Amino acid sequence: MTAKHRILTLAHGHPDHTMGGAEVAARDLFLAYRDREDVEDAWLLARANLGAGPRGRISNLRENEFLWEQSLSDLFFMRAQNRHEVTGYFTEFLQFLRPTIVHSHHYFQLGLEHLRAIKRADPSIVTLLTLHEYLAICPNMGLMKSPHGKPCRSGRYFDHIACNPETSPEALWLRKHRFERYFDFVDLFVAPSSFLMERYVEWGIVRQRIVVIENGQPGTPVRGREELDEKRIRNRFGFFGQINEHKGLDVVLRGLASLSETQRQSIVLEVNGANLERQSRALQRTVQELAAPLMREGVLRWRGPYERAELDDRMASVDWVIVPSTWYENSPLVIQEAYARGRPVIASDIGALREKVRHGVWGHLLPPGDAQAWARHIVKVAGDSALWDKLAVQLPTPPGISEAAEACLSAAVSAGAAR
Amino acid sequence: MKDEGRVRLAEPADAQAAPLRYEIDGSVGLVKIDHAISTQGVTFVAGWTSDGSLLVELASASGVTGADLVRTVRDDVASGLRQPATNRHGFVLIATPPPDEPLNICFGQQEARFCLPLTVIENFQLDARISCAPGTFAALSARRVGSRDWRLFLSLLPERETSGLIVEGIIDVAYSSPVEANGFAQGWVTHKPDTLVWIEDDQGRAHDLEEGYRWVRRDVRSQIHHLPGPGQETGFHLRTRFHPEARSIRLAAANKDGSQRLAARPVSHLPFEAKEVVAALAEATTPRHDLPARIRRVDLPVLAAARASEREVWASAEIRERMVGSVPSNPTVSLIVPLYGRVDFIEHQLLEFDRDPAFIQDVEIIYVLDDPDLENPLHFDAHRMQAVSGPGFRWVTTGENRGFSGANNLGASVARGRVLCFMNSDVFPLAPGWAIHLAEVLDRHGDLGMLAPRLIFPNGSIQHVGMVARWRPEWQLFTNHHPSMGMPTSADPSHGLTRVPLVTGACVALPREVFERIGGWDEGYISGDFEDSDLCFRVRDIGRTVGYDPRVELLHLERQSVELTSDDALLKERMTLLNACRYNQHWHEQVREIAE
Repeated sequence: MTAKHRILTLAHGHPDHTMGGAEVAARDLFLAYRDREDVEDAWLLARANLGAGPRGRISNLRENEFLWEQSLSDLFFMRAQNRHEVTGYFTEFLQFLRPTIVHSHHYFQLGLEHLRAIKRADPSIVTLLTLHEYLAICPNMGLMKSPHGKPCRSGRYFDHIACNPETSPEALWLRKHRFERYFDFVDLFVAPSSFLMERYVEWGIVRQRIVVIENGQPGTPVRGREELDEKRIRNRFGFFGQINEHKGLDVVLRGLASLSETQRQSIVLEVNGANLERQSRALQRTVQELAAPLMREGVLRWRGPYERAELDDRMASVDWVIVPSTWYENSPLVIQEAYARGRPVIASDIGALREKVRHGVWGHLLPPGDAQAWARHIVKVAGDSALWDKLAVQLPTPPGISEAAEACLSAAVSAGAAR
Repeated sequence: MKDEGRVRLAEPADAQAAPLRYEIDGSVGLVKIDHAISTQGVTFVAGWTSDGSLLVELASASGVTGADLVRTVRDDVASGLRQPATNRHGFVLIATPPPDEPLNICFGQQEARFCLPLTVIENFQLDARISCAPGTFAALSARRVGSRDWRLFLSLLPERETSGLIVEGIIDVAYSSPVEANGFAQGWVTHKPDTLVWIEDDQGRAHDLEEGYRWVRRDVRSQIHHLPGPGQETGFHLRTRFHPEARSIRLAAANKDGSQRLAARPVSHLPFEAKEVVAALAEATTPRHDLPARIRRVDLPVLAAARASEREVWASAEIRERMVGSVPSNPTVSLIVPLYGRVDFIEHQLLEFDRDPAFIQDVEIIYVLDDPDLENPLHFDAHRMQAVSGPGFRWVTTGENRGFSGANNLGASVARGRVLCFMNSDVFPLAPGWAIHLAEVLDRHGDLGMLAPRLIFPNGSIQHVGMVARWRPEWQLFTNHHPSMGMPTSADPSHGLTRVPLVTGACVALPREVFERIGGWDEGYISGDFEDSDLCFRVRDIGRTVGYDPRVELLHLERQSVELTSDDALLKERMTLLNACRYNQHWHEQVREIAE
């Protein structure tokens, strides 16, 4: 009989403190691990800022959930600010918990060094790292764009040298070198999309060390399927999540503004968006100026940020979910959430979104950044409830969180055996 | 008239009172003594003869005294005699006769002469000085500038005010060491023909400007019209050995009319560190194309003296050694890495060493901190970096910046391995086993005195596959050239161990015994270049060979290679050029041999 697993999940934030897709995914996964029969114990260690700076201390938030006061001293090199406690408190924590598997969900805010510290504390620990972004590949905040917005599709290091002429090739080499050497201590990488996995393979992770596992959906979603029989106009569109210059909300608003008033009277866009106030003044002004007249006409409904518990209601009030991103994305949770709630998705034809939305089957793919195309398409599908009906029944069932946990755990076991 | 055989003299025979008429074999002439004076043991006699070719001598009881005779043009005499002014009627005799003996002055020809008793007075009036000046100047010119006699004659020359302009000039840059006789001065000077020009301190030390590097300053030529000298090399850049207590220096000059001193200016303290001296020297601008000539003449001697005193201080400096993590107790290889400018490369190197089992027992790491500014950061960061990234190491420092050679030698002095591997902090191994491989190849091939691996850039192209000497005609110097740099590694003709003329110092291993025999790295180089090719020649000098092995490949970031042709980074370029000149001076024959 094999010993039961002891799994530590590491995240760069805790949903109690910072709400983001990866934080939520990490905690959901921790909960799913904990519920498994073959898991003896499971913990979550999430980075947090408790107002005292990166003291490197670890504290108990609630049973099996811990916070680590850590930060980065260098975003470019992903260097932990408190390196002392990487081999101090963090290592003591590992020695105390004695995990058999450590599943890291990020190195942002944690620093890359912790990956080595895990193996130094106990080389038998199997280490997993879920890559939620392209940070290792792209020094420009992982956006896979040059600082001037030019997209860099490839994961190859030399392409990013060309993309970042303001940064010396030597600095970029040093950066890549750091990532590579610390990534050496990861047994298995988890990519939530094939697109992201391929970029990392181009970058240098050998294919045998990386698998695609989609983020799972927690609980039993309200599928909204009961509405399917309801014959009504499917003209309500919903935007969910962060508003920033890479999420494309401004593209859609610009498109709507270019339509005639009569044309846009036939649709409603509900914006469930967060963090606009943290964006550049230029973007705030653009969005506000475009939104104001649309709101007066009743075309736009500005609903603002939402709590997780509100998601079912917010999604129930729209028919289509739009993801007009102008960057590659990885695996936006909102797409899985939409499918789980019977909502077809209209997304940009770019990066990972291409595999997350099967065009004409689960929704539609539109040219990213093309305001006219988005506006025309929204108006077109709004008048076609038969199309909506057809798509809604074809939507995939997104994996549940327990399936994701199962997939991660079995991948970890094979990776451990393959060492 | 008094008859003395072939010679007849008018009465009274006293040339000091009035011109004396004489006849030699029937030809008539006049002689006149204007001044006969003596001071500090030197006797001056000035006067004229109507026959400019007439012999003039001083004689004492013990015989003819060796005197300097200077013939001068006397316009006054020439016009009185109605003779061409070009005839040198005037004379000045200078002698140091035995004291307390009566002196005679003799005129005539080889076999027919007459001697007159000379009344010498101990009184040096200005008019006497002026009359004697041509002779004094001649005597001055014949002596080494700054010597005791030179100063004596100088003191006898009449000192001119600016009205009788001899010299004009400015000292633009002047540095002098407050602890030893070392420094330099730069400026321009223009003067009358046949003039001696020197630079002197307030402690009596002086240097002939002709010792210095001279060049034509076009800016001066276009501004100064009243002194002659088209094509005159007015610019000077001069090594000085002024008194350590000298506070001011000035230009001075002398010619047959007297001497003149220009206004004194303060002298700046020459920095103690040779590296700072380079910066001070760079303030002195001379024609760029001719820099090597100036460097050989002035800069290198100044730097050599500065570095010599610096090394005296180094020799007694306390070596501070810190242990970070645990280190091998009995290593085979000592890896010595100087740190300058940044210390974060350590983490990248440790991450690579961490992958190499040799670093557990066989290879010790010694970082040499050669940058006093970084001692604080390293002190705190060393343990953290080591804890998160790799094997333990030692780091040493004396709190000084010794340069590449000095830092490497310092590292070697605390090393325990029998093979020393010197490595730059921006060199990173690509695979384990490289250090032991280098040591094994050195062990197997007894002829090898040093061995370097292949180095590549981050893009995989060649950085180093051995070096050769390349002639730079614009400088008339040999420099180091990296063949095939930037090419793919397939352009490397070597596949195994190859004997090559030269290798880089960015990563090179030597048996300790060889290193000690050749006396280590030459600390005379200030920093940056040519220390490595110099080391190769030292190894070759004791009959060992230099090896290159492409089977070991490391990565070298090499932020910036120094291009002698680039116009920016002036100081870096100057440093390279200084080292190049020193290297070429040192290994002139040997470099030529390998270049051919």
